Amino acid sequence: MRTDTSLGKNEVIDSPPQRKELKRFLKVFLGRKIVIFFGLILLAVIFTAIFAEQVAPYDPYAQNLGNALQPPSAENLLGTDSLGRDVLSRVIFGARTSLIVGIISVSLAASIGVVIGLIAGYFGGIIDSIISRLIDAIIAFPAIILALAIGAVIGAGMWTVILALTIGLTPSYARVMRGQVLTVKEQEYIKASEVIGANNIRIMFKHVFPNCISPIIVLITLNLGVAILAEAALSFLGVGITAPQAAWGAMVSEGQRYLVSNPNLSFAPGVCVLLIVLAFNMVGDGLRDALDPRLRGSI
Amino acid sequence: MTQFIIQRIYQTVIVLFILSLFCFLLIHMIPGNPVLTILGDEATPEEIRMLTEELGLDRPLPMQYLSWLGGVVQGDLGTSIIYREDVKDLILKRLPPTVHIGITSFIISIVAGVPLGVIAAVKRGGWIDGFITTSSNFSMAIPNFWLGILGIYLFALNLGWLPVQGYVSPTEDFWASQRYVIMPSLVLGLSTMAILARQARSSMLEVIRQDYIRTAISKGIKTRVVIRKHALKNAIIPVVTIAGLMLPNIVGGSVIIEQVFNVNGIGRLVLQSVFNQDIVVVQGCLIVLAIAVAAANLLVDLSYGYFDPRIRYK
Repeated sequence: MRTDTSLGKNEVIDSPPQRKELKRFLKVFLGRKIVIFFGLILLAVIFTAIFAEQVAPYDPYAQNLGNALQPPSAENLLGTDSLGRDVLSRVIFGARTSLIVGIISVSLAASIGVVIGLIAGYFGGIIDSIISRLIDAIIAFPAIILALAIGAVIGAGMWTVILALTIGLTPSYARVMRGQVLTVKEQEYIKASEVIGANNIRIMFKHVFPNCISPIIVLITLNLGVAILAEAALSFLGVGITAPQAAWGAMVSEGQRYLVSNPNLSFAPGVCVLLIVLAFNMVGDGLRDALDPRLRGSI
Repeated sequence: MTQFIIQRIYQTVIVLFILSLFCFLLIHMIPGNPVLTILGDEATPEEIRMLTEELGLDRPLPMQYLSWLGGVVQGDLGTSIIYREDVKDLILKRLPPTVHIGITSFIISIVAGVPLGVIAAVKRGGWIDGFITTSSNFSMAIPNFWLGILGIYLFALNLGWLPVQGYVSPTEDFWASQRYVIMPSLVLGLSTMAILARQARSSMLEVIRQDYIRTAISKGIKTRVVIRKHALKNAIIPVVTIAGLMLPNIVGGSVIIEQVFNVNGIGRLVLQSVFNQDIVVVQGCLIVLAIAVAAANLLVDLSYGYFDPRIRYK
């Protein structure tokens, strides 16, 4: 049903309908100022995270107890924390932590989920039933609690967060993929490939998968925000990224102790989380509208 | 309807079975010997033998699972390794604040979220719609732990309107309890409220476009009546689905909210037990939360019958 809206990378490049499709996509996507605005914010954050060493004014780990808990000043634009570390530099390095965790867990979840969803949707039957029930079980369970359970077993740390987020996010991909496959499977060109004797794997990855890509791209963008929010929450609770690595959630938690004297310590990293999650959500919404207007509101 | 109910109960049981397996296996996922990890290096052989026996780790795996599950069904969740207290009692003691704040926030998010979405849809394109849509975008992106701290800073520390942290039971002092519960509930329910408003808006827009709405309006029925009687009834169904999906969100969020507002609920119990490596308590809390979420989900599904008569007569 959605064959006409996919990017159709498996088709001949530069055929006229393809170009028209891309033009329409860019027109809708870049037609909304708010999407461009948040897209630029995202680019800026990604740039900052990659070049954190060059952008940050100080070493985010350099302690200076004589200069602890300073209010914002010309030297330290966002002040210093309880160990005298420059808050701005730590916020900048925190962007890197957030993006790393987000990108790794979402890529893992998307790859695993897509394959699982393809298998469930394509083969159906008992395999589909088992996979669907597993998906139900994971979705019915709060991801934060799952992360805590994993934390109880293997301890706090970045990999605990990544593992928990991967498990928590995989079902959404499997579910979307499965639904798409069920629709695409009935199309005539899939039947045609079966008739000419293409094997299952070839049909799945060459024909079914490319036609299901649009909603997956949208989901990836939106989930990056979800993952960053969850990582921040887990680091805030002390189950996620641990000291001394700079992570926004942990910084909010540290700052909570000095809320009366230095509210800035908690406020600054929180604003960053809000901004980046908002940016991923807005860009994700924009992508959804541009890739397929019919998907609006469906994810 | 009966068939629908039976099918949903069957699915719920399977989901619970999978989750119970996960909870049970948790203790076996600890790298190395779980007993050594729990007791630490200074444990005597005698202590190790006793805990192994207490946890039943000396028996074959399927036997362990069955006896654990049998205990859970009978309300026996084992004994806490750290507190040396019955896990069931620990949970029962910590449950009221969590349930109180959780239900309050769920109600707030529905009672505020759905009408906001409907208003935005009816006034589509206007400044009210713009305001509601923008606020819900922000509300979905705000980290709730940070919002809680912000709230404490503003309403408790600066304005002094609300208490800083803690919890008072409504049976103890009803009005004081409201003052303690309002902020955590709002913070916990905000993202759910935003998501429900968004869903209500989009499904309302979908319904308003239908022919029967145009017919009703052209028959001269007042717009308000058409919205309430004709449109809302159909638009609410997908909103109920989303509301059900938000339940795990609220349960998970309660861990964070209880930590921020210093509420001694079940969420904090889980967190403390994670730090204490008190696996038996973690297992107990997990299975109780899983049952609670599954039961609440089942209730939401059954409420479809009320909202959507088509399901009732299938």
